[in-house]
Amino acid sequence: MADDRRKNRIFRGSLGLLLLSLVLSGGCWDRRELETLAVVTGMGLNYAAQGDGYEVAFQIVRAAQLQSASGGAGGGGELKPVWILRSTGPTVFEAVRNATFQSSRRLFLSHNQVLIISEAVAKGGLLPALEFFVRDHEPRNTQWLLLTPDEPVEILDAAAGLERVSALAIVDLMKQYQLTSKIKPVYLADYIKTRIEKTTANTLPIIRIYETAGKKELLLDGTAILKEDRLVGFLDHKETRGLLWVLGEVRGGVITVDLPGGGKATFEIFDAIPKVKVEFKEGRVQVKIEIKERAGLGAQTTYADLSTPEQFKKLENLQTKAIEDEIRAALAKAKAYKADIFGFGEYLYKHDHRTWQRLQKEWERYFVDAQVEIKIEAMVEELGLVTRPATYRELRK
Amino acid sequence: MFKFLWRKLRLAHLRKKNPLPRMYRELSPDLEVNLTAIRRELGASPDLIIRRITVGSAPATTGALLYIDGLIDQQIVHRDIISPLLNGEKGRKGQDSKGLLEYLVRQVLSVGAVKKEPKFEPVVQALLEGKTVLFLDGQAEALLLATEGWEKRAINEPDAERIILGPHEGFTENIRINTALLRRKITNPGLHFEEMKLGRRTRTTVAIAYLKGIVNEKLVAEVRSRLKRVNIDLVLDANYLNEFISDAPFSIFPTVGFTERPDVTAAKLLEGRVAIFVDGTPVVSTVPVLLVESFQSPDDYNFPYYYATFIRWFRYISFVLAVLAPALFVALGSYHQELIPTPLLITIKSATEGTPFPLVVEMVMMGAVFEIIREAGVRLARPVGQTISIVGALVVGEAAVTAGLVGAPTIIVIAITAIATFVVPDLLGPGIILRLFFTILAGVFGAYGILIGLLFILLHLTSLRSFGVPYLSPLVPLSPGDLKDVLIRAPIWAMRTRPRLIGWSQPERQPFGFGSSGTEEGEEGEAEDGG
Repeated sequence: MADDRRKNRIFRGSLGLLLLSLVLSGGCWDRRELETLAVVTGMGLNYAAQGDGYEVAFQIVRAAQLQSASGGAGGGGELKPVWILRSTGPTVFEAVRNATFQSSRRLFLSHNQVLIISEAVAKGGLLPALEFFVRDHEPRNTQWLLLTPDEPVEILDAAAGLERVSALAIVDLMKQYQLTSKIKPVYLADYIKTRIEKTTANTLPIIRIYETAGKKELLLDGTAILKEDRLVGFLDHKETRGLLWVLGEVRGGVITVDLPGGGKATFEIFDAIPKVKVEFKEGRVQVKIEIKERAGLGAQTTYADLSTPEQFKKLENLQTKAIEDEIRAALAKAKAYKADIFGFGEYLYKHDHRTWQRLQKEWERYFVDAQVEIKIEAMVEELGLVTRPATYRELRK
Repeated sequence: MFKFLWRKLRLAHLRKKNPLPRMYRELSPDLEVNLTAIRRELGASPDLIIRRITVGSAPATTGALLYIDGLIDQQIVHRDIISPLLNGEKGRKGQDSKGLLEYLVRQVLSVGAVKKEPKFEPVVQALLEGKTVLFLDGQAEALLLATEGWEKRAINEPDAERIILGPHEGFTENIRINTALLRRKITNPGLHFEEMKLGRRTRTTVAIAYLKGIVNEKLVAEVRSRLKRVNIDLVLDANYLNEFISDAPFSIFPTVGFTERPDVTAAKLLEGRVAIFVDGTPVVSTVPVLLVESFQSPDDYNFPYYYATFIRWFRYISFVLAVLAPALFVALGSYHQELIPTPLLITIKSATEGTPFPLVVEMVMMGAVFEIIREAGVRLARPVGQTISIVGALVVGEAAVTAGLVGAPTIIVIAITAIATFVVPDLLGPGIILRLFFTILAGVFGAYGILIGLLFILLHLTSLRSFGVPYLSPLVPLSPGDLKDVLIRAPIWAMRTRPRLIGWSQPERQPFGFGSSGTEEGEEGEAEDGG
């Protein structure tokens, strides 16, 4: 009985604690109704035109407009589905707060998808501008970072092809990078992570505007290299894939090679598995890159029958050469900018820490001096749905 | 918290206790005195029939037959009582008045159950139960003749517990028919009934049913003692008693099970449970009851095990949905918008744009409207039901959204929830209460509030017991062997044992496997226990 009463008291006590904690932490005052929020889907970062400070551009979704166009039964005239807002401030945080001078609703950053950075900011150093997005609790770490030579506002305001919100279109563009493997998408978290590595240089995909049929459209156009947080140079599509081969991020895409007898052949990459080894020998950094690649023949522009074993051998050799070309091109650019975008230094950091400690101060020099050995094993495994090319004609005797 | 209230109520009750005057008077040998007493007791009710007769010729004895019109079977009274008394009586010779009653019972009256009664009170009671009473002048005893017969409802399928396959009969309002229905399911001498009268004024027949040899005798004793302690004016339905004998009278969860199906009752008895029949209602209570029982349907055992398992999981999911869906929607929509995928957020936002109320108000409001429609639909005459559904669908579904009063997603959530609630009919009441509770919690505290609420409910559920059996068993405390009928519905041949905490006095149902049903073992055991 006494035990029962004690238990009862404990039960009541814990119940009281629970209720108390309920009241103390969290409550109505944290409530924000959906209709009082301005959902930001894209943001742009630039330096302010006057004074030193930042200009932040917001792309805010007009949900009702977005739905009404597709769902019919819409009203309210010709409003665009997005609302573009610009605000300035000495820091990014203050610029974001200053936006409340213009927005009747609270800006909600948790659904921000892309962060467009102007070249100027990239040249002046990116981290001071990105810092807010990591520190604040609302923005996600998984928003895409992109660099633009144009005004970020224009990107946010551009017509986005089939989509009605350009930020959402950019998300889809990023997601289908493996169809070509010629872009390297970068999350905010990726960028910060690379910055923590001491010797590795950052890359950012580039997006820009081009005009067609009187409309501004978006285009992904190569990769930017940022060394020590500052923009130093660019890679084109081919060089970008050279980088991705080494990083092991090639998930698909096509390679076209010139055939010796004239004409071209295009392969579709199935997968590629790289093995990178970095060593310090004889006063030089020695890099060994081995890549095992599998591909299928996707198109040919000759009448020759490429489906014989001997032809396969030749095709594989051609592919090997093409891949090596891409890697060499990327390597050359990286060396020219003295930027270790491949993370060779990081490899040493992880596998041979002592050596890395010796080399890190002069890593730039060692990187430029590095000897890179490339071994590629390309395989052609498929012909598609045909056993012989449609263009093939057996010669008459 | 509740216990305090309980004690208060009991005290108040004790103070007012005043026992009814009991009148176990003896009958008088004088016929007229007896008849007057009866008339005074019953008043001038026109349905009390007093048929005066004269029995025999030498010497003739005057007497009277009494019965309540409508409660007796006219045919029995005419053919088997009046007619033999008047005609078959001619041949009697020199019968002394002492042996007259005995003689009538043995040689004249062709009625089944006959009882001699010297006391006044039982005679009145018997009269009210549909028996015919025979008074004879000079006899201080009355004959009670079983002539009950009144209009009964036919055996129908219970509306509240419909099934697709399996037996379609349900209990009726007549306790005798009900016990017979159960006997038809369990042809076993171990099936025992214990009858008692409950309700000080209604004197309703209540029967406890159990299977001797399988049931735990202590459980029967406990049920008996709890029922004995019930001191109530009237008993019209099983629930009148359930609220008295329930372990947790203030809990929203039912700690006494109920069913209208003989097959369900039979299955429960065979698991070692006790059933309580109440005359005048088709609802039979079963104890002890577990939470998981609410999720079991008779159809589970009439369909193949894989399908039954699949459907049972849908029942679990439906209940969770019915309780939590509006709360989660409110929490996500008002507090944790970052948890909604962007495209979905935009869709929801576009639908709620311009609605004047906070989500939680919308949700509670529409929930209330739905409950109103449901209640009206249940109460209204059937032809009007259609009107309700049209008005409900049009006004609530269409107009509210078109007018911009509530968002379409709210309606969708309410609709799904409403349907999901009916998947588990046993927990309809708790489901609705919990839903409101969680929705308000979510509206005030967000997902955090839902979590605290769930903890609270879990705490409460673990503290519940039904006739000594933990309400959450076999989950808490865990009896792995019993999960065969909880997480899955195992094939019948694999359900070898009865629930551990209920049927432990005779745990084995059958030997394991598909093999020939060698039940010798089981029968031996039963015989031992029964003897």
